[in-house]
Order: sequence, then C-alpha cells, then structure tokens
Amino acid sequence: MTINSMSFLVFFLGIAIVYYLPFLKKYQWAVLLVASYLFYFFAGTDNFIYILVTTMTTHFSARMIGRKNKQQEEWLREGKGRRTKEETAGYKARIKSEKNRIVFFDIAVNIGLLIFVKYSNFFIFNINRIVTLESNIELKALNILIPLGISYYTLQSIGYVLDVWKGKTQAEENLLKTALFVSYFPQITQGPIGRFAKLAPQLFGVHRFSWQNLSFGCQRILWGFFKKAVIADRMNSFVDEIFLHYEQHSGFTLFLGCIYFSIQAYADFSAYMDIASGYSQILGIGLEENFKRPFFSQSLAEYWRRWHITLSSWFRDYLFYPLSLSAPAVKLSRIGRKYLPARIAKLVPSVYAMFLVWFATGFWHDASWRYILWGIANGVIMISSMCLSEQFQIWKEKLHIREENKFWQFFRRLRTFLLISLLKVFPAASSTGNSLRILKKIVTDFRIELSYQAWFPGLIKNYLAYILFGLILFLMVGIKQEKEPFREYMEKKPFAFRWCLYVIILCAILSFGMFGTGLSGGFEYAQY
Amino acid sequence: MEKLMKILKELRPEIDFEKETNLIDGGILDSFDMVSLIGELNESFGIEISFDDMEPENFNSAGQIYQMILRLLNED
Amino acid sequence: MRNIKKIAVRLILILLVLFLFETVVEFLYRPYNRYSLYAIRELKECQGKIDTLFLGTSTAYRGFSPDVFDECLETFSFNAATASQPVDGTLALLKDQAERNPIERVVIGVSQRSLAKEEAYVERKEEVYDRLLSLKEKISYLAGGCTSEEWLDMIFYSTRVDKYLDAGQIKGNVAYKLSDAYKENKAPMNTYRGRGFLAGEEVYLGKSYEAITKRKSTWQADHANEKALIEIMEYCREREIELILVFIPVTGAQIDSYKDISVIHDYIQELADKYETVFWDFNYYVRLKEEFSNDMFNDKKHLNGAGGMYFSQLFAEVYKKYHNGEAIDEYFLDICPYYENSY
Repeated sequence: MTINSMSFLVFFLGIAIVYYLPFLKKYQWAVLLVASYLFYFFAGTDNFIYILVTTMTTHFSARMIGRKNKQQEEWLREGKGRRTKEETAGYKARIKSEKNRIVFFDIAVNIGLLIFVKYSNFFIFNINRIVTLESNIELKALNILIPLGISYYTLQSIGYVLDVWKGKTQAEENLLKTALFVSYFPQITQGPIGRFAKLAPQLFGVHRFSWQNLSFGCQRILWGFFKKAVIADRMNSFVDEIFLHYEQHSGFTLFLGCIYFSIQAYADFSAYMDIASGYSQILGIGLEENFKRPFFSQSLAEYWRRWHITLSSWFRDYLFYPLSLSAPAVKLSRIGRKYLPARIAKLVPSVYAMFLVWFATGFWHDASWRYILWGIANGVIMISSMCLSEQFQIWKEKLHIREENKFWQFFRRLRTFLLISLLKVFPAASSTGNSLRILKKIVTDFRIELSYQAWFPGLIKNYLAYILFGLILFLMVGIKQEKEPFREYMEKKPFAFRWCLYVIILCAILSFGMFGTGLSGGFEYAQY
Repeated sequence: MEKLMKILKELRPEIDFEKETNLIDGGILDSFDMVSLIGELNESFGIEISFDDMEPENFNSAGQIYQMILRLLNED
Repeated sequence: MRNIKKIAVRLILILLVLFLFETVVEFLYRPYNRYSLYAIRELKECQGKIDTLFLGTSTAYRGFSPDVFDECLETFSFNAATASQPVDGTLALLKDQAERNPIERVVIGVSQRSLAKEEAYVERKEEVYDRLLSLKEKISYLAGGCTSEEWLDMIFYSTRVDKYLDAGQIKGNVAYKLSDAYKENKAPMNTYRGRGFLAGEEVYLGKSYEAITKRKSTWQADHANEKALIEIMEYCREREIELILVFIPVTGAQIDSYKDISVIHDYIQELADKYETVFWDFNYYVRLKEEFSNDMFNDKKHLNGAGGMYFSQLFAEVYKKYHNGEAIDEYFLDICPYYENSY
C-alpha cells in the first residue's frame, strides 16, 4: 500500500473517523501511532526490528541527555554567585563530555544500522573487487531488504537527539510518543524530514475537526494526484526507455532525456509531498515544506535551498555547520590564511565542509558510485562558483549586466535548470558506467535534430498531449506561486472559478492520468 | 558593536544590518556567509562560537549577534 | 453538524459532476462497433424475464445461441458469457442475475485457461463489472475480485480511454449513437445475433486432425478458481437452480495443444461428482470428429456462426432428453474421440 493508492484512501478514511471521535480526543496521538504501525505493516514491512531499535535508542539517548541538561541547570541555579568561573567551566565540560558520549553512541548505532542495511552490499562488492585481484576469496552479498523509509526516519531521529543535546528542545518522556515521532505515517516513506520542535507539539496535541483543514487538505491531495498521474507516471515509462536503451539514441535525445527525467522526478517527488501533506493536514498536522519551485532558481546553491529542503537543511544544520566549526576546519583555515589570499582563505572551512557534505548527500541517496559522483559534482560546481564569484562580478561589470535585468535572470534560471538536468544523468542511468557513457555521448554526439522521434522517442502522440497539458498547468501554477501564495490567490477568486478548476483537475486525472502500473507503483524517492 | 558592524558590512555590503531582523529565517545570510562570519567573529573577538550556538535566534539581527558575543565573552 | 452538511453537499456536487463527465465520455468514446455495448443494453431490458443463463468465456458466447435454445425448449435465455471470464466473475454474474430474475437453470461453459489462470487482466474484469447490474454485486465484486488499483478502471470509464484526441472515433460514435438503429439497439455488425450470442463469420483454415496422441500434461487448476467454482455449485444447490457445466467443442488442433484433455476432463468430472452437478464434455461427444470439423470453427477454439447454431441445437436436444428423464449416454464416449486410435 502506497500513499497514493485507493487502498490508502480507504485506510485513511477509517483512521480519520476514529481520530475525530469525540471521546478519543485525548488519545489522538495514540490513534496516530496505531495507524502508523498499521501503515508500516501494510506497506509491506513485517520486520519491525530496525524501526524499534531506532525508536529505543532515540528515546533513551534523548532522555538521558535531557536529564543531564536539567542536572546542569539545577547545579548552576543552586550555586549562583557562589562558585568560581573555573569550577563552573569544569562542571560544564564534564556534563558536556557525558552528553557527547551518549550522542556518539546514538549516532553510531543508528548510522551503523543504516550503513549495515543500505550499504553492506556496496562495501562487499567493492572489497571483492579489490581483493579478488589477488586471491579467490569472495565475500557473499548480504542482500538485506532495506526497511521502508529508514533513510528518512534515521535522519529525523538523529536530528531530534542533537536538538536535545544542544538544549534546544526538551526530551520526550513517553516512549510511545517518541515512537510516533519516528514513525508518523504520512511522512515515513520519503519524508519530509521533520524537526521535533515543530512536529512533536502537533503530533501530541489535540486537534478539533476543521472544515478548512479538510478542504485545503483535499485540494492538495488532488493536486498531488494530478502531478503524479498525469505528469510523473505518464512520463515514467517513456523516460525510462530512453535511458534503458541509451545506445540507440543520439546525444541530443539523451540530453533531452535528462531534462525529462529532471521534470519527471520533480513532479513525482513533489506529488508525494502534496499528497502526504494533504492527508496530514486533514488530521490537523502541518508537515514541513520540501519544495519551493526549485526550477526557478538562479544558481545551483539556490536550487538546493528550494529542492528537497528538509534534506538539505538537515545536512546544513547537523553536518555542514558542525564540520565547518570543527577543529580540522579551524586548523585548515589557519593554514589557509598563511598561504592564500584573504578572500579565498575565508572560504576554506566552507569548502572543506561542503565537500564532505556533498559526498555524504550523494551517498545518502544510494550506495553506488554514480550517486557519489553526482554528489561530488554538485559540490564541485558550488565550490567553484563560490571561489570564482569575484571574477564573475568583474565580467558582469564589463558586459554591463544588471542584476535586475529580466533577460539576465531568465538566462540564469535556464542555465541552472539545464545544469541540474545534466547532473541528473547520474540518478537516471542504471549504472555508473552507463551514466558516464551517456555523458560522453551527450558531449561527443550532440547535433540538434527536429524529428518527432528524436524529441520524443517512442511516445504516443496522444500521451504527449496529456503530458503537455499537465506541464502547462503545472508551470502556470508555479509562476503564480512565485508571485503570491496560491491559496490566497485562489481565495480571492469566485466560488465558481475555484470549483471549475477542481473539476478540471479531477477530470484530467481520470482521463489523462496513467494508472494500471502507476498507482500501484511507488514513488521514486522512497527507494532512497 | 562597532567592530561587529564593520565585519558585517564587509561580509555583505548591500545589506542594512541596522534594520534587518530576519537574517536567518528570511534567508538573507546563507550557510557560507554564516561560516565566514563565524570565522571572522572568532578571530576578532577571541571567542569560540560552537555548534550549540548555531541557532537562528542568535543570528537573526546584529543586536542578537552582539548579545551572543557578550555572553560568550562573559563565560570565559 | 454544520460540517457534516457542508461535506455532504459538496460530496453530492462532486459525484454529480463525475456522473455527468462519465456519461459524456462514455457516449463519445465507448466504441459503437463492439457487441458488448448492445449485449449490456439488452441484458438490462430483459431483466425479470430470464429463466436460463449461459455463462463462461468466449467459447460460451460463441457457442450458446439463446434463440436456438429457446425455440427448442420454450424458455427465455440469455448469454452473459464474456471474454476470458474469471471464475469469480462468473459467480458474481450468477448472483446478480439470480437476484433479479426467475432463474431456473444455469449453463456454464468451462474453460481450461480461466480455471488455471491465477490473475485475470483488468480488461476481463471490466467486462464482468459492466454486466453487473446491482450496486451490491458491483461493490462486492470490487471488494473481492479486484485490487484497489483496479477499482478506478472499473468505476470510471474515463480511465479506460486511451486516445482522447482521436477525432475519427468520436465522429463514428456520435454518428451511430444518434441514429435510429442505435435507439432500437441494433448493432452495426451482423456478427451479433442478440442476447449475448456472437456468430463468427470466419472459417478456421488450420490443420485437420484424424488422431491425436496424448502427451504429458501439467495442467492444474488454480486454487482460488476452484474455490469459486465450488461456490457456484453450492450456490445453485441452495437456490435449487439447475447447474450444468459444459465443455464446448474445440478443434483437433486445440485438443492437441492441451496435450492431454482428459486431465482437465477428469478434474472437472471429479468436482462435479463431488458436488452432484451435471458435467457434459462435448469434446467427448461421439460424433465430435465428424460433426465438428474445422469449417464449424472461427479459429482454433471458437465456434463460428454455423458451428454455434449447430452446437446450440445439439445441446438443446441433449438437454431436452435429460430434462425428460431419458438416457443421454449414447451421446458421450469415455474418451475424447481423437484419442481412440491410440488405444
């Protein structure tokens, strides 16, 4: 059962009714917990051990750290003005190292688990490659079934423990509530990765049924279904086909394929977000936003602030900042100051942290070299644009380009979009070798063709029309959203206009949408 | 405070740091700016801003940054 | 309370719009030149009158002519067989029709393929779904026989249309559906002979067989299908509906492709005996080779118009004797006639 299936709709309807039963008001969170585990079970998991381990370690680490925080607070309050600075600093350092030990344990267990289930095959494969050069010993692949959503809930849980460690949030005392935070069903399969401070009060609070939540939720679900069925799933088989038989296509077609893939992936992933957020909103729980029209970005760095936001902000807050403030980074920057021009030297810690973060981001997506390459490519482009920004500035002045110039902005958007799409060659291809071969073909075998076959190989013309209809509507909504929130725009419109739009979307889903495989097939990002 | 304003001005000349109170939540300073800024602050004030202090409420305005610096100076 | 009213009003509005949309789409896109369109309309018209129901797969809707049967036995029969009808679909159709008609007897054309098949294509299920007339049976069929992903396809005709921009198709549909012939429920093709009977015009030109040697067959019925078949037999017994299972004649070529038809025959016979049901295998018919030669067939396993009429006559004759309590042993051998030489 995936979140976009008809069976989920029925499942959810049942949950929502129970959830809003007046006499269960105080136990709404318990209803959610039961629903989450039921969903996790229906989604095809019969192995709960991984999520239980994460729940337990998260809960007890957070609670132990929370106690240390309180202990320190009390100690400080009670001895206010009576202790020397040295005494205080010493005490704080002791508590901190105790806290560090717990955090380290928690992260080691959870990341260890993630690496074990997700990456053991990757390591075994690569070790075999090196070892078998000299001997005949070969390690057997473990082929562990990757638990659903582990990449997402692991990060979310670690984030929570780190927040408690920083003293930013209180630790949750009830194990079952922590279990709900880890497993909340609309977001368990592929995010968004929530923050405890924002999500937990909503999960544990009491929600009264509201008409507005229901109607907004339904609208979002409808929009999500539209993107999923009319755009993402319609494009899916055709785009897959291009990359599967890449030898048969010219570099031009493959380049177009990258663009299609990038549109398709966005439609697919954002559709999931809309559906998940819509369902969650009906329950009165707002999820984090994961997208802010990323294809309107003017640079790759901006793109990553607008695409899969909860992932990149997680990496920023819990990996990039600690890394760039860490001892090695400080040391590097000292060395940098000696040998490099001041402007570049300032960037040294960022560059160091960036590189590691992008390596990790690539690796997080999938255990394969092509994702690592993809992550590093992202990092390298951003680092170089950062280092070369002064040169760009000089060029711009020479060419008399003003930032506000509409054409310049459009050019930057287009450039960024093409760059993003080209980088998608790594996720799109079926193996690292293939992605490099496709890239090579794009570079060496690129000549613009005008035939239908070159532009849309194997796509039935009727389907192309459906996809274009979907994309145009998608783009129009995007442009409107850039200017003002779409909800507010819709609110101002008359009732008839709004309902016409809903009806058009509903009918378009039914007639132009792709089902059969689509609705039972899951979402791309759930595999990560 | 003057020293702080000078650092901020150098970092992003086009921003009016006296008035802006939404530096982080408004997305005005990005993560690279933050890392450069912290490096500068550590260097010039002789403090050590750590991961614990990396919170939006410490960096949203020049005033907040100043408060944090004072706090860190006091702790040592 | 206010909320519930608000929700209800909007729900009704949405359903109304959907209904309108579906009606328009179906009018524009459901092909006017497929027999099922007329068969379904006829089925609706005949409600309340049907006493004899033919069910089964494509061999059955090409094999049983209600006209021929009725003339011989003064009954009112209808053929509700559909292509590759899944066995649970047969059960659903039976229940649906039995609720609304004074059904006395049901004749099911069994098929080795739909008994063996594990999962039917959604298109095959649609055919069944479209013929279910009561909401109750429609819902229970969706809940029982289909995955939730297939629901959309069943409920909404619009999801089945592939080419929305095919102007030629729309033009043909609109032109015919507005004509008087359509109002009188006359199909544009003369292969459709009414009440669900389809008379093929082709003649099978494949190889003729004199004798066939048995080979090892691995045919096996699927468990779920077996369960459904048993449920059909039990349902009929409870309601005192006379049930007859029939294996409709096929060509020698088809029998050859079964490798050993007795495996299927014995399987059904055993079930039929166990549940006290009548099973007539017309591939064990005495004069199968002589009377059902290739020119009676549309293709390898489907009777054509002439073959269908002939078989219906034969079937009616056998049934009449059986009904009157006469012996019918003379019609059937203990073995498929094609195998005789191998003994």
